[in-house]
Amino acid sequence: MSDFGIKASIGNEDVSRVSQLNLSVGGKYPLWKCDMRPSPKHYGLLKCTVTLAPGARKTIFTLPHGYDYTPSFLVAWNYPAGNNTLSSSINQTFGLGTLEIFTSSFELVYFYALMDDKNFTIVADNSTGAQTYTDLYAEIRYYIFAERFNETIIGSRLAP
Amino acid sequence: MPDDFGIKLSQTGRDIDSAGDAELIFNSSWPTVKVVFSGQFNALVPERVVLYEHNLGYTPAFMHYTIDRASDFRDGKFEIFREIVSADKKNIYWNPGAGGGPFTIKMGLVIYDIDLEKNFSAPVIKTGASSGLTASKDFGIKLTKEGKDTSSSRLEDYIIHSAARSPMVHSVTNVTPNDVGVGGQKRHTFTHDLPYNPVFMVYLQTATRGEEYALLNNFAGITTSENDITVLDVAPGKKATLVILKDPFTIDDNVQDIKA
Repeated sequence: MSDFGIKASIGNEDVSRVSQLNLSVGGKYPLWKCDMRPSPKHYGLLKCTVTLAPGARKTIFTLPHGYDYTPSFLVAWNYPAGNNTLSSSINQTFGLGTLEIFTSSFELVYFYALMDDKNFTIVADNSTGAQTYTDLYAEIRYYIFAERFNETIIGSRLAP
Repeated sequence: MPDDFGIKLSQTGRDIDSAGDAELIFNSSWPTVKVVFSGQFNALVPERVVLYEHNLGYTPAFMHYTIDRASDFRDGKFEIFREIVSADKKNIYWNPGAGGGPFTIKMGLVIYDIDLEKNFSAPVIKTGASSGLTASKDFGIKLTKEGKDTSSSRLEDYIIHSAARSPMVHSVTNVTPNDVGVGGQKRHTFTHDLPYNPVFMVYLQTATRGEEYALLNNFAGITTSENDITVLDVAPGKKATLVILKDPFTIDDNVQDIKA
């Protein structure tokens, strides 16, 4: 059967003629869904205070997601400027993927998110650091989605 | 056309009459974030290639991620940031430039149905009082993908499910920054009208990639203050796009203090 489904156009757009871009929701591209029901929750805000020695890498958060596959996710982070001299000197809120933070010494301390078929993990990494960072502060917002990233290898080809 | 029409669906447990826009599953006044492509690649360093020919006819928002985690820089491994991945109206490109090698990075790519050069702004529905019901009540709406059973317990089998929260687009703003920045670069301050601090993404055209946009996925180059989001270092004559989601960054639900 193919004569079923749902689509809702945005605003005044005619739903019978509207392009995919002007759909609020449509069956061709399902919504990225974060399940609000599980415990532990698949969304949240982490307020992280981390101390890292030179070369250290710490797993600071682990969430067993309960899916039997590797789900997709979204993270956003904020490094608020404040009185803590190890805070980033500028206030940031944005997201996806690798979470970097420059310390006051302009070295790189990395926070990053990992996902596998069991756990969602946040890691703090001072691999390249030559000094200890005490009470480094970062806020990390996360969503775990039921949809999985497509694991099909597409390949690549040369650009023109 | 009359403007008193549309459809909106609140999250389970949220009163539809008082739910704020971040408490909805969708509202036909604005788009949800939909994934039009997801896949993985073996990308070679250093070599510019077309990663994927999307042929959407517009420059889409996208996200890239490493699969083989290149996190230990002591071993000289590779991090994907800024213009290493870029997009135009036809393709997604891999531009690793100088980075040692040759070696292969296993990476992933997600493309969204968001046109980075088409401005859009949704109305704001401020948060109201909620009835406070839990998500365990037996009501709501669910619509499965073709071929799937509505009795399925797997959330990925559904197009819509009222027990789930989905990212929604609040605004897409594409500009050519003209304010003076640092070191000959340009800057621009976007001001949003949301009553909360939102999750957002910034895409920039870089000095060396023509019309292509790159995701600004590390912190350098963005500041926020109140309702202002400032992009600091855009090459002169190049464009920047801010995509704001109807997703509050600061929440009071499941906030955890982590000390490590």
